[in-house]
Amino acid sequence: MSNFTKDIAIQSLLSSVKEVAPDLSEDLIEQIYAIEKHNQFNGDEEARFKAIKVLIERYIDDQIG
Amino acid sequence: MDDITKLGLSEKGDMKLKRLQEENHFLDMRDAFRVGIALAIAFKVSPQEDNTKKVGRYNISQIDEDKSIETAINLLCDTQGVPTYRWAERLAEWGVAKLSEESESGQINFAKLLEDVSSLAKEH
Amino acid sequence: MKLKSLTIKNFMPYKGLSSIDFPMDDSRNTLIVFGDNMRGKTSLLNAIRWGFYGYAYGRHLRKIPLNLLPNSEAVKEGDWEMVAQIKFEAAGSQYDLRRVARPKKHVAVIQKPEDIEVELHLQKNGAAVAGNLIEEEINQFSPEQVSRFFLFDGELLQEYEELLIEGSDHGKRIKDEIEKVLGVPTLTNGREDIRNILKLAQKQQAVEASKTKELESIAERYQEQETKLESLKVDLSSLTMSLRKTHDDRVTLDDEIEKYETVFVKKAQLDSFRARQKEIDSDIKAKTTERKMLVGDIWKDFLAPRLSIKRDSLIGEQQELNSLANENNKIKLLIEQATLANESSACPTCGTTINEDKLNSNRARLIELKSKLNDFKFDEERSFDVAVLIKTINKVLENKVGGRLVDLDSSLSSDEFNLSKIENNIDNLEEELKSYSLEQLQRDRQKRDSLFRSETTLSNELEQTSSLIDKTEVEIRALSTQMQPKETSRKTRAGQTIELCQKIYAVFDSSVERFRSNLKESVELNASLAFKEMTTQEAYSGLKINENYGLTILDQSNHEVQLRSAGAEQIVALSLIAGLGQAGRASGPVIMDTPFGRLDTKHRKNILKYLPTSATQLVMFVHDGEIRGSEDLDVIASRIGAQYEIKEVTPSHSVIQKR
Repeated sequence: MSNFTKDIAIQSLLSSVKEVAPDLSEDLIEQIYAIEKHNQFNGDEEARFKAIKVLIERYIDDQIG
Repeated sequence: MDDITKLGLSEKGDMKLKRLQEENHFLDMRDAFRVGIALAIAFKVSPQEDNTKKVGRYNISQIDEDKSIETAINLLCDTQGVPTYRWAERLAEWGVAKLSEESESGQINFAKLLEDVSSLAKEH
Repeated sequence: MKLKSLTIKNFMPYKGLSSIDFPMDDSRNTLIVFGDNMRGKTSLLNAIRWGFYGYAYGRHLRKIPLNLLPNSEAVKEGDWEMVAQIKFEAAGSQYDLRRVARPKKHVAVIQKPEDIEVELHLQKNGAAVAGNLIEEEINQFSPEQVSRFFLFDGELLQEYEELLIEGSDHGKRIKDEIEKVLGVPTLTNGREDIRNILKLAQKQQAVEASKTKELESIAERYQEQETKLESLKVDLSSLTMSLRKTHDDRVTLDDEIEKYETVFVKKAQLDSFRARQKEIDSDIKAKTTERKMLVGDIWKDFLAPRLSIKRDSLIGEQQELNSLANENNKIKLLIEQATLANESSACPTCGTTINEDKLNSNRARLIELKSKLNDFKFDEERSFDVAVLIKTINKVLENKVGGRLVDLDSSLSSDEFNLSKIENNIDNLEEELKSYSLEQLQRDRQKRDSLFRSETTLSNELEQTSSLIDKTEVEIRALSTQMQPKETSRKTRAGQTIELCQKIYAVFDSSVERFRSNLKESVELNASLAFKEMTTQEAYSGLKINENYGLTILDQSNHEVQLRSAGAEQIVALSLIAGLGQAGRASGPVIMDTPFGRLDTKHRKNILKYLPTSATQLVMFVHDGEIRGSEDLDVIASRIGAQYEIKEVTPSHSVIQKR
C-alpha cells in the first residue's frame, strides 16, 4: 500500500468517526487500522482477528477499570 | 479377284480389337473395326496384303450398313485393282493397330487424331 | 524497489543457466526483451513470479504444476534442478532471493508436484533471513496478492474488458484484485473482524439474556436467527465454491473446445469435399458413357476432311457439267427453231414469202447447228453420278460427333484433375481428423453449455442466499438491540463490547465506501492523465471509472464513447495500470509482456514515451511485430538501459542474449 492510499484510508476512517460515532476514540481506530495494515498480505486471518479482539478487550477493561 | 462378303482381321489384329473393347475404349468391336478403316483412309495408307489367316469375321452389313465405307474407299482410295472390301480389310488391320497403339497411353486422344487427319487431308 | 538481476536454471524453455541484468539508472530505466511468439517471453515473467511466489501461470491464470516447469531437454538428460535467483534492492537494502526445486531424495521418477521439494533462501544485506520471515519480508515490497499489476501479461489486458460488465463474476474477481492493490482490504477486513467480535459478544449476551425471564424469548429468537445465519453462511460458502469450480470447469472446456473449433470447421470442409467428390464422380460417369456412345460414330469425322475436299471437287465438276448441259440445251433449241424455219417458205409469223437466199442461209445454219450438236460431248450419266456422289457424301458428313467428343474429353480431363485435387484434400483432412473423436467434442460442447447454465443458476442462488443473509443479520442486530439494557450501569461486559463494536463497525462500514470513492477519484484522475499522454485522439477528453474499476472513454462533451477499437481497449487498460500504480503500490518495477499487440504506430510511440515515466523500472517483452527495431525505439532511445533477445535453439530450448 502506498503512503498515498494509507493517508486516504486513515482520513476516510477519521472522517467517518466524526460523522457516525463522534464519541469514539480516534486512537482506538488508528490502532485497529495499524493491525489490519500490518496483516493485510500475510493471509493469517486468525492472528489478525485475535490481535484486534485483544485490543478491544483491553480497551473495555480500561473503560471499566 | 472377287470381293469378300465377310470382313475379318489377323489373329493379332483380332486380339487388339478385343482389347480395345475390353478396356472400354469402344462399346462394340464393330465400332472399333469401322473407326479403324476410316482412320486408315484418313491417313492415306496403302496397306499390302499380309496373307495371314483372318478371324472374327463380320458380315459387310454389320460394318457398312449404308455403304458409306464402300463409297469412301471408292472415292478416296487407289485400291490398285483390289476389290473394295478386301481393301477395307487391309485398312482395318492398319487402323485397329493404330488405335491399339494410341490406347496404350490411357484414353485415346481423338482430338489429336482429328487434328492430324485434318492436316493430312490438306496435303496433296 | 528495483530489480538488479534475474538468473534462472532449467526454467521452462531455458535450459541451463540464463541471466538478465536490469538497468539501475533512473533515467535509463527501461529494459526491452525481444522474442518471437512461443519462444519464452511469458516464461521470463513466470520466472520472476516463481522466484518471488513459488508458482507460474499458464493460460487463464491457472497454475502450471511444478513438475511441468523444468526444461524438458534438461529433464531428459536427468538434470531436474531448477533455480530462479532474483537480486533486488528496496528501502535501502540489498536482497538476494533464491528458489530451488529438486526431486525429493527417495523419488526415482518425477511424476507429480509432490515428488519435488522446493527451498527458498533470502539474504538481506548479506545476512540470511529466517525461513519463516521470508514471505513477510517480500510482502513489504512486492505482495503476492497485487503481483498481477506489476507482473503484467497480455492476457490481463483482455480481462480488463470484463470490468466493464457490471456484476459479472469474473469482473468481480478482478475488482477484488484491484482493491487489494489499493489497500481496501485493510478496511473491509477491519469491518469483518469487528463484526465477528460483535457476534461473539452478542452470543454471550444472548446466553446472559436467556437467564433473564423477560428476555428469554428474545434470546431464543436470537439463537434461532444465529443458527439460521450459520447455516446460510455454510450454504453461501458451498455455493461460492461450486460456482467457482463450475466456472473453472467451463472455462477449461471452453479452451479445449476453442482449440478444437477448427476440427469442426475441418469436418464441415471434409463433408463438403466428399459431396463434391460424389458430384464429380457422377459427372465423370455420365460423360464417359456419352463418350463411349459417340466414339462409335467418330469414323465419320475421320473421313470428313478428305470427303469434304472430294465433295468440293465434285461440286466444281457438277457446275461445269451443268454449264455444258445448258449449252447443249441452247443448241437443241436453236436447231428446233431452224428446223421449223426450213420447213416452210413463208414466215411463220407474218406469212410473207421468204426469199431463196434466206432459205439457203437457214439451211446452212441448221447444218451448222447439227454439226455442233454432234460434236458436243455432254456426259449426262456422269452428271447424274456426280449428283448422287455429292448426295452420298453429304449424308456421310451429317451428324458428325468430333466437336462434342473433343469437348467431352476436355471436360473429363478437367474433372479428373479436380477430382484428384479434391481426393488429396479429403486424404489430408481425414489424416488430420483421424485422432479426434467428433462425438467426444460434441459431448464436450453440450457439457460446456450445461455448465454455463449451471453457472447462471448458481449465481442466482448465490444472490438469493446473500440477500437472505443480509436480512437475517438485520434481524439479529435488531434482536441484539432489544437485549441491550438501556442504562449504561446495567450493561454487562458483553453489552459494552457490543455497544463499542457497533460504533467501530459503523465507522469502518462508512469509511469503506468513502475510501473506495476517494480511491476511484484518484485512479480515475491518474488514469485519465496517463490516457491523454498515450492516446492520439484529440477528441477524447479523459476516462470515467465504474463500480468495478472499469474505465470508459469520454469525448469532449463528456459523453461516454460506446464503441472502441481493440487498440483503444489496450490503451485504456494500460491507463488503468498507470492509475493503479500511482494510487496503490509502493513504487516499483512494472514488467509487461506483449503490451502492444493491437496498437498502431502512433499509439505505440506515445506509449513508449510514457511508460518509462510510470515506474522505477520498466521491463517490456515484445516481439518484432510489435516494435519495429530502431524506428519505434528512437522515441525512447534515451530511456533504454539494456536490450536482450530470446533465440530458439530447439523448440524446447531458448537462450537469452544481450543485443
